[in-house]
Amino acid sequence: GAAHLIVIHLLGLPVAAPLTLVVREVAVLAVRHPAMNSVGEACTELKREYDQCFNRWFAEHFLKGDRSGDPCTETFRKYQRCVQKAIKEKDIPIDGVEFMGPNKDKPDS
Amino acid sequence: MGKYFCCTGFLKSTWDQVCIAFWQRYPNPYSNHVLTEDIIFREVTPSNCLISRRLLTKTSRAPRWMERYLPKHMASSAYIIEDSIIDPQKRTMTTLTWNISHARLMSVEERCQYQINPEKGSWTEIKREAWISSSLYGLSRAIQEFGLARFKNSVTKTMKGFEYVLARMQGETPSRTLAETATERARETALAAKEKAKDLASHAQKKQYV
Repeated sequence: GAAHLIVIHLLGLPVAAPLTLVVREVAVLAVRHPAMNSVGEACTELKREYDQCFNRWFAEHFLKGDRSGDPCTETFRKYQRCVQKAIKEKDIPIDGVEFMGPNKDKPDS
Repeated sequence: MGKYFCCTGFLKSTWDQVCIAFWQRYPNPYSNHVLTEDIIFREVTPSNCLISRRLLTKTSRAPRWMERYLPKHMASSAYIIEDSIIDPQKRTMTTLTWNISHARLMSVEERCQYQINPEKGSWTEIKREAWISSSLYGLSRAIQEFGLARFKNSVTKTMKGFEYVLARMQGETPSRTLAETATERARETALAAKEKAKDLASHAQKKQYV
C-alpha cells in the first residue's frame, strides 16, 4: 500500500501530553520507506512482497546460521515468472552470462 | 590498456548489518540515477552460501561528447548486473558488478570484498577494485579517463548511500542536509560546464565511429 503521512492540525490549541505521544507513535508506524520499482512495471508489487519476505528471512534466519527452510519460495516463484518475462520482452541481454563471469579473467588481489 | 582502481574503505557497522543494508540500499538520496532493481537469480548453495544476481537499470549519464558516438537506437538506460556470494560461516561477501549494455563504448567491472574489519570487530572493511576499459577506436583513452573519474565519484555516493541506509536501520534520523545538497548541485553545475567546454573543443576534431 502507499505510504501515509498523518498530518495533524492542532488549530493552535495546546494538546494534552498523552494525546501527543499517541499521535507521534502512530505517525511513525504509518510512514513507510520508499521502495524501488521492478524493470517489469507489472512486477513491482510481487517484487516488494518478495523483498519483504527475503529481508526478514535473511536477517532472522540465514545470517544466524539457521538452515531451516526458506519461507519465500512461493513469492519468489511468482515474482520470477513475472520479471523473467519482462526481461525477455525488453530484450535485456542477460542470457548466457555466467555467474561471476567477468571475474574469471581477473587476478586474485 | 584500460584503467585499474582499488581502494579499501570501511563502514562503522557490523558485517551482519552491512549485509542486511546491502539488500535494502535502494533507493537512497544518492541513488537517483538507479531506476529499477530486481533479483533475477538466487540460491542457497550446499555449503550454505547465498548466491544472488541483481539486475539494475540506471540512467545512462554519458557526457554529450561521448553520446555522439552511440548508435541512435541504443537504449538510453544502462543495464548492470551484480553477482554476489555471502558466506555466513566465514562472514565474507564478495560482489562483482558490471554493465551489460554500452559495453563496447565503456566497460566497468567492480569487485568488492566485505569482511569484518581486522582492527575493529564491530566495523566492516570493504576492499574495492575496478577495471575500466573502452574499445572505441580513437577515443578509448578519453573514455577511460571519464569512466575512472565517474567511478571514483560513484564510490563516494555508494558509501554515503550505505551510511544513510544503515543509520535508518539503526533508528537514527539520517538527513541529507541542505548544505550537502547545495554543494552537490554546485559540483554538478561545474561538471556540466566542463563537459560543455570539452564538447566545444572536440567539435573541432570530429571523428565518426561506424
